[in-house]
Amino acid sequence: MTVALAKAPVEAPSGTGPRRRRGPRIGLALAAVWLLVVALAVFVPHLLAPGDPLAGVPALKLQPPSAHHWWGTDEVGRDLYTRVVHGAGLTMSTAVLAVAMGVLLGSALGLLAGLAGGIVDVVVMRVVDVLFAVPGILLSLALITVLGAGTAAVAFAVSVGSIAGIARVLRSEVLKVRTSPYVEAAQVSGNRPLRLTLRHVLPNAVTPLLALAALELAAAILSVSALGFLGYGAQPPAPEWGAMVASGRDSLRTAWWLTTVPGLAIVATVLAANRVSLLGGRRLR
Amino acid sequence: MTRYVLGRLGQALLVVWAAYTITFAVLYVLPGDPVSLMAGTNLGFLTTAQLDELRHEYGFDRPLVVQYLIRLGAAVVGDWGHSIVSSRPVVDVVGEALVSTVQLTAVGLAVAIVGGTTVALATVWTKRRWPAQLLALLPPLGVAVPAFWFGLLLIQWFAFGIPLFPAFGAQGPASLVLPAVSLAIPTGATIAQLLTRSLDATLAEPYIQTIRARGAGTGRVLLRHALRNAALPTVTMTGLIVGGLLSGAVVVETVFSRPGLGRVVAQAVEQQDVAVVQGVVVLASIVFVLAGLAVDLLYPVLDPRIRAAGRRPVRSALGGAA
Repeated sequence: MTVALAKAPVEAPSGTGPRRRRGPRIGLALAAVWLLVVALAVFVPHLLAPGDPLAGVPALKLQPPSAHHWWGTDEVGRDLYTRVVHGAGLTMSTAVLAVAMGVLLGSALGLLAGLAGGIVDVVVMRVVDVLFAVPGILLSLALITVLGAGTAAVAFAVSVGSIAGIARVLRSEVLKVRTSPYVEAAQVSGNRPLRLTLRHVLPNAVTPLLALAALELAAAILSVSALGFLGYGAQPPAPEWGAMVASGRDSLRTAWWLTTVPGLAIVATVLAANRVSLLGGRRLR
Repeated sequence: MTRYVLGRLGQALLVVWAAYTITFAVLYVLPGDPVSLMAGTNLGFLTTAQLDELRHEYGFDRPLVVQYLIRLGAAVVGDWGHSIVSSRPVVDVVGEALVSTVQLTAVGLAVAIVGGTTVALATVWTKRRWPAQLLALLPPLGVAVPAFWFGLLLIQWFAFGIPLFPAFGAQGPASLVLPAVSLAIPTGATIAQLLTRSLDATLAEPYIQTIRARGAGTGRVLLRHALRNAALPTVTMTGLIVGGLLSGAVVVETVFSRPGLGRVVAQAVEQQDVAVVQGVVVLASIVFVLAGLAVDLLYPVLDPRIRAAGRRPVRSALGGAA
């Protein structure tokens, strides 16, 4: 009940711009369909591409796109379509893991700052400021220096970049509702702080948090694939979108599809996640 | 005013100090010391006694707090430690690489500003016609494009396809074109998004109506009256924009095999050269802070309303970043 009531005023005035309201939301529909396809590729890749992403036929190397190999083959004769489909799992799971960790850590910090107030608030938010002050990739690289390459390391390194934004949004949401009459009423009725937070404060923050998480997912996909491109993510035979772009670089002159296609997958997924994040209102960060 | 400037300066120093401290914590505290980290890779041939000697030489055998204080003290006076791999001073290593990166980011920033502003103005100008819809698609697309991928596409098209520019390296100004453009795409798109939004808001203000009523055409309204006000929120994002460019430069330099901070940091990460990594990260935070500081101090010059009020600019009122 509270959630439904609180949601309406958040979405109504912001949402999409006043001028763009009219007309069918083709963009949103396309985004939803694409994300569905990506989800299929993540969970049941064999349904979309029954082949083996690691098995190549050397005789068929560097074939341009054709009816047989929709997106061509790579330098050892592996089908690019199969590899891109199976690569979705690696790229997306790393990005989702990163956002999940970022949301967890960021919400904890934001809640702490918003609820505790005073000196705790100041200290936590200063730390968050610093996370903002160091450009994302560099912070990730510093962590990778210590953690070494690999999917888990990349996920953690990327998650640190999203903590700051999430902590800020959650803190401001908490401050917004903390002094509202219904929260005060709940407090006076004898709710303990933990229950108050989980039952009455947190549900209000869910919509902006989800919107921001979608936005952070888009950013995380870009960071994960950039780190994959630099060679710090999943290691070579494994198909990861960023790493695939990097390995296509060697045959850039002869086989354009090897770099172009995995990159297009990244662009489409980031676009879709960004579009979906708009649903939660534009007033973020 | 002096009070405000000093306060801002203190805040800036605090952020840089905190960035130094956090990177120290990450790089030096977490997994033991850098020498044992490297013992697994580059220094595998050394004996335990030699490793201990190396540790002593770099001070890794002292308590962490002592190490931290000594290093911080030295960093303040410009000694950022030595590269563990080449044993050259970090300041030299980073300083040499900086020239090329600064060239790239400066040109990238210029391209991003010009491109982003042009797209934003064109979008607002052509409202309600079909090109407007097409133009409105560009910024979200630009934000979604990975710079490393776009760089490779540019190489394919304008170095291999039509041989206009060199594909790799850093010889002469022509070699700067493709990297700068691919670096500018995400940043330019962000600028276009911010600017379009604030142009829309500015055009809805009463003073614009007054100017229109007095007979000014769309072009004059946009360029002479709306742009200046609408640009302010974007200007406050300069710190984030420059930070984003630095991040992007690391990747773009790798794509185009250019020398610079990107190559230095990539090498340092691979060789676990913590001092160099820390140097680059702290440098980036200094650049971020300086950009923010410059904007805040220049703000009264740009916005007469603040000059008149004599107070600090209100950042929170300026909407979102994305």
